[in-house]
Amino acid sequence: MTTATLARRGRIYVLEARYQFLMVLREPAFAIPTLLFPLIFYLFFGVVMGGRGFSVAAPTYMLATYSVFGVLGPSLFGFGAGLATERDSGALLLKRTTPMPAAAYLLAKVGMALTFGAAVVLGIFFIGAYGAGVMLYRWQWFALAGVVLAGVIPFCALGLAVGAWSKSRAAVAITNLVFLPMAMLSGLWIPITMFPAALQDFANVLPAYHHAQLALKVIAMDGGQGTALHVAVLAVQSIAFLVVAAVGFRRTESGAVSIRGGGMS
Amino acid sequence: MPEEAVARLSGVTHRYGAVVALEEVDLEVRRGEVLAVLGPNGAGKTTAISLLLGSVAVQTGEATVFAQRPGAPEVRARRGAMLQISGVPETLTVGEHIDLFRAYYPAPVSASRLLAMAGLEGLERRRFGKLSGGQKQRVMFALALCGDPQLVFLDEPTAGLDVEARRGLWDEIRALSESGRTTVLTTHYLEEADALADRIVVLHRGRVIAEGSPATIKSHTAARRVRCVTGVHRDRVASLPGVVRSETRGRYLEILTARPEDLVRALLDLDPDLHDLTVVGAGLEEAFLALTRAPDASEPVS
Amino acid sequence: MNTENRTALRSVWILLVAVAGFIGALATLPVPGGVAAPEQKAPDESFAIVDVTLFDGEAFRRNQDVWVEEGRVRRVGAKLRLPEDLPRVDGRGHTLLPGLIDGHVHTFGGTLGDALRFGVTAVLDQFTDPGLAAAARTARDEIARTAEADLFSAGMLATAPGGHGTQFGLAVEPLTGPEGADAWVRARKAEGSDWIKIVSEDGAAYRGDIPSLERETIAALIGAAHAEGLLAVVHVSDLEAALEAVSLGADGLVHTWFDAAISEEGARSFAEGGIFVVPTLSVIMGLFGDSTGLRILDETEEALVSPMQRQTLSNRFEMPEGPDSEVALENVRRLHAAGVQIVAGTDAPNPGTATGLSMHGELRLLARAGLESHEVLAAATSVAADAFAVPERGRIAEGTIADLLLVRGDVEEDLARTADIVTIWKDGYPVVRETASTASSPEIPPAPEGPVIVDFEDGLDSGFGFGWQVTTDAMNGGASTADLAVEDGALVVRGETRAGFAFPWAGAIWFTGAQPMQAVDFSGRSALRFRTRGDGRSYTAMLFGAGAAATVPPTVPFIAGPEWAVVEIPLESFATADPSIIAGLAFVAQAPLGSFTFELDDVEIR
Repeated sequence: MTTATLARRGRIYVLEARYQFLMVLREPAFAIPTLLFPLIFYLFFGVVMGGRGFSVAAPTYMLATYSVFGVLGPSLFGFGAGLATERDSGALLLKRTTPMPAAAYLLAKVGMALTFGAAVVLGIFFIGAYGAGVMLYRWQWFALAGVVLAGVIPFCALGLAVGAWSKSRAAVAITNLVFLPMAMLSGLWIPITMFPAALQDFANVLPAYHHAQLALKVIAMDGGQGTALHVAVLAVQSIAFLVVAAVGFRRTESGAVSIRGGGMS
Repeated sequence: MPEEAVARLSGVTHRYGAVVALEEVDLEVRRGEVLAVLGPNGAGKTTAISLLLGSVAVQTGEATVFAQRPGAPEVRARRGAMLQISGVPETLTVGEHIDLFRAYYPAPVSASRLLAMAGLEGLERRRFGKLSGGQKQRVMFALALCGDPQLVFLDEPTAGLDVEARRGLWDEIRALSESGRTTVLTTHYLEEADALADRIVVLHRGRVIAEGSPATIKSHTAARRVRCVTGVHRDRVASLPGVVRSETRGRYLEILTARPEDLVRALLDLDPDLHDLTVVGAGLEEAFLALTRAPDASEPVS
Repeated sequence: MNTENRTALRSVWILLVAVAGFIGALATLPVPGGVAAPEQKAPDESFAIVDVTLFDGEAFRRNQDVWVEEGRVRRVGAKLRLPEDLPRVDGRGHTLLPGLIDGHVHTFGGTLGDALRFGVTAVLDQFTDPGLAAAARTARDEIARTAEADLFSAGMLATAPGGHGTQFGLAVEPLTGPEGADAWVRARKAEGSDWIKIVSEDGAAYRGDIPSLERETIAALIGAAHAEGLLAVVHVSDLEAALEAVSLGADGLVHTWFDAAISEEGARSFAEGGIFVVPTLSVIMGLFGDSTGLRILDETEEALVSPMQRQTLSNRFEMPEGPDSEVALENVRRLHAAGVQIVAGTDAPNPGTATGLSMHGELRLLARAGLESHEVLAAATSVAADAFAVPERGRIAEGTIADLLLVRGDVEEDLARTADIVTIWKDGYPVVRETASTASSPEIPPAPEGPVIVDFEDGLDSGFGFGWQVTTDAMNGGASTADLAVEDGALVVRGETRAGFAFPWAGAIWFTGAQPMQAVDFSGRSALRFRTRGDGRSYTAMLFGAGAAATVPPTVPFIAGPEWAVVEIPLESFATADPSIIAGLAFVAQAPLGSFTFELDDVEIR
């Protein structure tokens, strides 16, 4: 492959990412909740409420979990709702008739989730550090940011699966049905240790739980399960989501045209 | 070499579950022509286009574009498309969409030329969501042309547009063919096919039922609908020459025919008391029925 | 191709900048021990106080303008030509004084803040922790925004074993004879003592009997100080000791005495010898139940008074019957009449005094002893600065540091107006007269002077405060457990964090106050240091403020590894913590859940 071709292909990836990001940034219904909700929630539950009584570690614990929450949102909504909308509007189909590499489209969405996630993480870190006095070693700040942002991989895969199987109208609702209960039951809002044992056991099936545990490991506030376990569960789940997504795409791809063709008569 | 096929469907049959979308279809797109695929909704036009775009996999038969499989990267780079139901994200501007699509192609048309070709000058900073229906279609048109394609597919490009917007887009499509590009457009307006196409292929219920120049096709589609109140039984009427179909609707008898004068004369001979007689031009579907001369009594005429 | 690539290249740049910004922002987040003080520089705004009654350190001058620029006085005079855009403070009806200098204080806790809040911009400390004095020395040399008065200090004092000065818990190196004097003085000079303070006190004036330095030792110390170019001042409480000190060559005495009045010729000999005296009438009159300080407390807005000021002002020395407060005043009167330089000083925060606040009382007491207003004020400014060779302070003149005190009314007519403060400027910055958010809390006793160490040699008794207790989340409904034991002179904390409460924790807490969660004033201390070892997991040190102010306790993590290691955490690393209100320090395990073991030893607040 020549340099020019490489440069051209590179440009596709860059522009796809750029416009993907601009597109959602200009969409208040996406940008405001994904950026502000985790910050406001953290401010309220982590800093204002979290400091009650003798509960020593609330702002630190929630710093990690709300950061995970902050990455979960754009990943799920960017892929779940965003992809379903673009597919049903025909935009995705149109792109697929062009020479655009499919990877450019997918990576752009991952990049968008990463960018929004990074903005939220930074916001939460600063609120925690300067609003609640959270203090970590420098390696912990960096490692926490890194681990949290790595969450885009399983979460985008999950979003892809949701997006592949839902119609655009329903996608936002379905994504919320996945997003909010999973955030809650994974201990992203309230520490998992406050739940009844049955719910704590149930959390083991949720990717956000395992990811949050990895993030909490950085600050030594996790539940004590092994790192390998969390990583393995996330890897298996990511692959499973991708398979589910692929099946979903195959189904809707053949179905979409028939619905379209038949829907007009 | 105007006869050379740049795209071809050979013996293609395509099913969605139990529904047959295309049946034994042979279709050829010749270099430099504007081919209109004409047919009512549900005739299989979009399926045919999708097969040639490679966005639907071939089940039976063969689809080739530039003598390659329709999804091949080289094909994608030389082909442009405007899909029947298509939008692009509403929060990006016209200019941004064009910028992005141009990046997909190795030798794109300049942005300013695209804006001119699609009649979008002055709108490049406007967000897609803020455009009128006609302007949106023009954007989709421009996006189809970003890669300077040799072959352009336009799937119902004027669907949902008002008369003025439709005529405007016609001018752009004409200019396209004048620039030497091969164009395939689908439509369910005979008028549109007539105005734009060098050649028309008529699809009906997944079959090619006619093919030829616009003049040829038009001459076959002069069906009329005759309606009257008469004591003559519809089966008797059906046996009259030139009758495609006859049907009782309430107290009326409705007859579809390619030769209304002969029919009316014969009816009046059979029933001097015949009254409330009207003769109207039939719709496209009736025209196709006339073309096929294959009445299907179980199917009500809509 | 260039135009084709422009947007893409710009996007790549934006991305790179964003990534760099993200990493840069992460790098600025606070880390344990890494809290840097905000950059401070000289104020760039200049201002002038115009048409004010000025006490320039020596005399009153009417209708003066004072132009301040970059923390110093640029010009003083009547009807100065000032730049048009120079901000002006209307001085009409007000008196401008040099920032007051308290000639006798002891520094610890928040006393430097207390001093500044009452217009005392420099203090002459006559005994404190040498480390503290050294730290303050760098601060006073900077023209910078500060909430504390400048500190000049003798550092450690010279006394006999078991003598006056050894009772406070501060490290003291007592002298047993004249032979150690040279080395002792050199050590003080090396520590940065600004002068030498010698105690000549046998307790006689208080009807007591305590060991005191021999005459020869005092002489040797004074000689050694002079040989090192340092002043030597002497603590006395009776006439005999005073006369002896002067005869041995002392430069000044840092108390008056009340057993007998000095004769006129005695006073004259003081004057001829160039001796200065810091009578500390505030503490001495306080012994006799004088209530000048309490009156000023009544005049003062409650929010301006710190708990410690309130506390020390209400404390009382046990005073036997006999001595007469009038003798103390008479001594000052005679010394002054003979021309002896009188330096205003309070001996705050000893019982009956409050740092800063009592300085205004001292001025009134000096007036009672016969000093004119301008002499009283000079004693608190220029005379004090000259006596102790404090540079650039005590006067309002070109080039002096802009430590200024603007008060309502005419101080020459009514000395009590000094307490009616409008604005204090320190290094040209207006001082925010706020107590450290402690106004509503009850009295906060100061921690013992010097480092506070718990070495566990005597079990769990810390020898200070309430001591060590188990702390777990059980109080929040959690199920975590912990046990404390002292083994081989170290505290062993064993336990298990268990699910139950949201943020499980278990460990040990050291209550530094007499009661659990009762705060102690540790201001002036800068670090928590301890030795630890354990199972290798991460633990958390938490600092608790007063029980009422139960905000999020700031935490700093530490790791207890297999080998003993020293962990030192600057107190400022405990974000939001206030060293002047420390009720407890906890060392706990949190998540991950499970059993843990760690040990602590030599826990020290220093």
